[in-house]
Amino acid sequence: MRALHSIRYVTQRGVRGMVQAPLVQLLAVATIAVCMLLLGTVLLVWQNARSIADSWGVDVPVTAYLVDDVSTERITALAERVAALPQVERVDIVSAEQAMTRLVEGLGNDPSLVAGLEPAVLPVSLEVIMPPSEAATADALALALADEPDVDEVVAAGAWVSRSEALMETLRSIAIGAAALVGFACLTIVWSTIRLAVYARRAEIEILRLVGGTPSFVHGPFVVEGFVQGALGAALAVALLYFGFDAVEPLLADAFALAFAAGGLHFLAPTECAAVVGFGAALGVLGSRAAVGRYVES
Amino acid sequence: MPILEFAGVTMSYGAGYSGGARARVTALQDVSFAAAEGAFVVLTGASGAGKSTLLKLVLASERPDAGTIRVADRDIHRLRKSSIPYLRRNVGAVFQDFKLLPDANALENVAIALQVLGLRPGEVDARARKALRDVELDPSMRRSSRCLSGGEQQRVAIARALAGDPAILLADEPTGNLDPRLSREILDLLQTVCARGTTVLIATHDPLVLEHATPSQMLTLSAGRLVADTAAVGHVRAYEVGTEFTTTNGELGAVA
Repeated sequence: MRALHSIRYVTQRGVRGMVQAPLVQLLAVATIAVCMLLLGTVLLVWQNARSIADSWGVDVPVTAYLVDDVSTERITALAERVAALPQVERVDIVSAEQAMTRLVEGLGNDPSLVAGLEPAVLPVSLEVIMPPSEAATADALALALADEPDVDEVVAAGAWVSRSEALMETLRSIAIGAAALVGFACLTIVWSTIRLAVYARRAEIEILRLVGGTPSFVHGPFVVEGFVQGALGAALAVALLYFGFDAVEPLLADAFALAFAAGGLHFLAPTECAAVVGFGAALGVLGSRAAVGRYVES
Repeated sequence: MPILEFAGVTMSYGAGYSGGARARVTALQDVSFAAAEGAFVVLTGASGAGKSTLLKLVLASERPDAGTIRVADRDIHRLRKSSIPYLRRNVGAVFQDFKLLPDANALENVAIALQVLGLRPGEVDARARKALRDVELDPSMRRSSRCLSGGEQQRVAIARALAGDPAILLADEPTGNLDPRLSREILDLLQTVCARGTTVLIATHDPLVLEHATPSQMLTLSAGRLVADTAAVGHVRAYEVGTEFTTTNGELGAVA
């Protein structure tokens, strides 16, 4: 019960400390928001690029379109033979009906665009899934499949897969670099503002230590400040990112209709938004602990 | 059993470098004394004699180079760092510069010592009000402490130090910033506190305190050495600057 009263005091004092220096807090929150906005933007670009790459089918290195009227037994036999190859992860059989469904989805779920088109005109295909490490062998496999009597046409996306993977890897590195940079920037901002608060309230700290305040009781209000700064800054960044995305998304969708036709752009999931806010709060706690720790315990 | 006991305590501070070696200044040298529970102890000596250092050692703000310090039979410098705050809850302290929060009122200043105990708000309020009444201040005063007189500020500091009901009250030059009338009031208050059962240790070189106080024990420091301990030579009713007395090692001393 005593611990609860202490937590209540520490939280109230932390919030009161923020209210006592609103301009400093506002600047800190705004600066953290700008930094977190950078991270959020990189995360959003990376996620959507990944999603677009998937919708383009670059995750399927080889697609073999079969000739008409191949029996189900022969399709299954061919699929099993290809799946048995060491460089192949699995083979998916895409029926004419499934191909039609995908086409409709790919055209933005507008059935009028495919009105009068029978599923039977679309060929059955085999989608050969390979692990990224085997992407370089996709072209050789495509050539071998083209020689099969039941195969009409083969599309190899091997080069696309490699380029897509390279692009994703670059974006991932940028995201990690941005996270590190933003992390450092946020830590520095929180450290500086909390250090200012510690300096402004040094008399209070001295009194708290004198009357028997434990280190966690003394530095608690500053950690609360850091937590709130980090969480508010990150939440503000997510909100700005959302409104920015909302404003830009229709323009991009119009300009790159073909590229986004299969799935369109999407915003961060609620769990990802929560993770960004949590990351900001954690940086706030770390920065404030670093700023106040040794001072309080000295 | 003594509530406070020093045994062979030596303490020195680093004083930069001299001739390529780290220089140290000895603040206390082989200090030993014991103060009984409920005693009113006056610690005197010239500026720089080591009075404040001795109080800092009792608060565990400093560590001795040698010797032991026992508070309520516990060697406080063998306590873990995490236990020091709990020691300080049992040792109240007031200072010449009051150490109050300037923007907080009297009640808030006293409440801070109770909030660290994790008491519920109602209990904090009730005990802080009682502590202020005990030092003859009105708990409903709304003025910030910066607007209080020096005497009122020192009363608030004493109320804060006593709010947690400590066993010992340390006072470092408590009348240093006060005029003679207020000094006498504060001294009377400290003696009242002592009469209620709290051991009081006042460090001072204020002649008025030495004239007005009726200590049960008087300690005199000179250049870091304890040169007099009246507990060894009996009760002394009043001191004046220049009063001669026999020191603990049999030499003749005088109140500085």
